[in-house]
Amino acid sequence: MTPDPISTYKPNEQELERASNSYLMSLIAVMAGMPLPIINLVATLIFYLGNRKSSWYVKWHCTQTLFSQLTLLIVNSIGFSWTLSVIFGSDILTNNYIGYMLTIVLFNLGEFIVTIYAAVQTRKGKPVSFWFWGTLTNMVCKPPIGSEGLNAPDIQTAYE
Amino acid sequence: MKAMLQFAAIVILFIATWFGFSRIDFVRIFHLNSINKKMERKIGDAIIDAIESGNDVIKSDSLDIIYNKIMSRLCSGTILNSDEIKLHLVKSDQINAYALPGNNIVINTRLIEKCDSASELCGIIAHETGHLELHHVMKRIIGETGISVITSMATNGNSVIAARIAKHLSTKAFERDQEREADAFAVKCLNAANIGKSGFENFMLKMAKTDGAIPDKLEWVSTHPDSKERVANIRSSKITSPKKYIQVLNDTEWAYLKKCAIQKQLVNSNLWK
Ligand SMILES: [Zn+2]
Repeated sequence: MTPDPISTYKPNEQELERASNSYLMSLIAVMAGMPLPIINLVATLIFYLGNRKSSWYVKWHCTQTLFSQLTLLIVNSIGFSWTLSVIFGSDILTNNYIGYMLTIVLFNLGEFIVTIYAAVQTRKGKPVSFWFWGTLTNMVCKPPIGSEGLNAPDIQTAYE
Repeated sequence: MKAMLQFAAIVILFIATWFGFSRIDFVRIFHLNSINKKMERKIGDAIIDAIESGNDVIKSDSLDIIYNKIMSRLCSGTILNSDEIKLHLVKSDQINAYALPGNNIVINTRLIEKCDSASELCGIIAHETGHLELHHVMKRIIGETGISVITSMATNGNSVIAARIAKHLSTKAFERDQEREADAFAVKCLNAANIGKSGFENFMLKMAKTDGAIPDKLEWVSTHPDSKERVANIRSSKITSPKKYIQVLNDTEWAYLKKCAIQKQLVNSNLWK
């Protein structure tokens, strides 16, 4: 199995900081995103667009953040509209509804913890490739030619 | 490929967590139903008040005893509490019975006139009880009037709106799926109470036959269409029939109820002296 391209890239100090910031940005988004899921996306999208012209390393991390935020956006939006329907619409409070809300709280929490971990590790120069989202990011963000194989640190994988 | 597998794993994890949480009966643990029920009861009281202010309700202790007998029998095979469901006899030429919020069931005098036995009447009541127990009534009111009307009704008890809701619930049909569910509930309930489904079936057949003859008086038929199809469903129901059948009301009790309904007023009774 070949190592992820992200783990073989040698970033400079500024890249480390910006990549790490993309996770911090998403942390704020997770906190705000629970009541209003659209904030998730807007915050991450702004950061993503702002770093479009950055180096591949920074872009990779921003993309990974964007993907994980998109996933949360979907489940949170379902929870949000379900809540509206319970309060204002024809749905009633059911175990299914409460179960769903607890599940998304748990997933948001999981995302929160993993994101903190990723922010810290990325700052230290040890990139974290999320499960699924990392794989997806690798498919979208192709590394620049010639960057592979440079001083490969250990592969870190965060499970979420 | 790898991404697909990982995606599937995450989706499965998510659904498994959701399913796991849903097994916990939060609604019961945190008494969420009692909050809903309290609100529902208040709305129900406002609606019943509105109906009673029209002076169209026939009330007496003798009738209460009969209602009690009917409900405790209907609920005997279930976990339902028979005291919670209240019956109301309303003077009306419409053949109709309908469920109202707060576990109230209105029976029009004309419907009892059309019933040939107490078990036929029990069939209708069991069906309406189904609408209550399956939360069809509240779901529908919330869906059709919005929660703001409901909360204001629960706090102020607006009689105009209350009357309008009663009118709406008595003349507009439920969804077909809900009718099917209420029928299934009724059959289960009737069998468990040793009443049996044949009375319910008979009444529906009668209604199917008169279909079109006096359409303006047949509210129950107009809100409960497809009688023939429903009878077929009830007949083919696989729920086991009771081993023995027990009369719900004795002949004098049934005669008294029927007389009250036909004369649209209380009649003298020496049943319980
Ligand atoms: Zn019905």
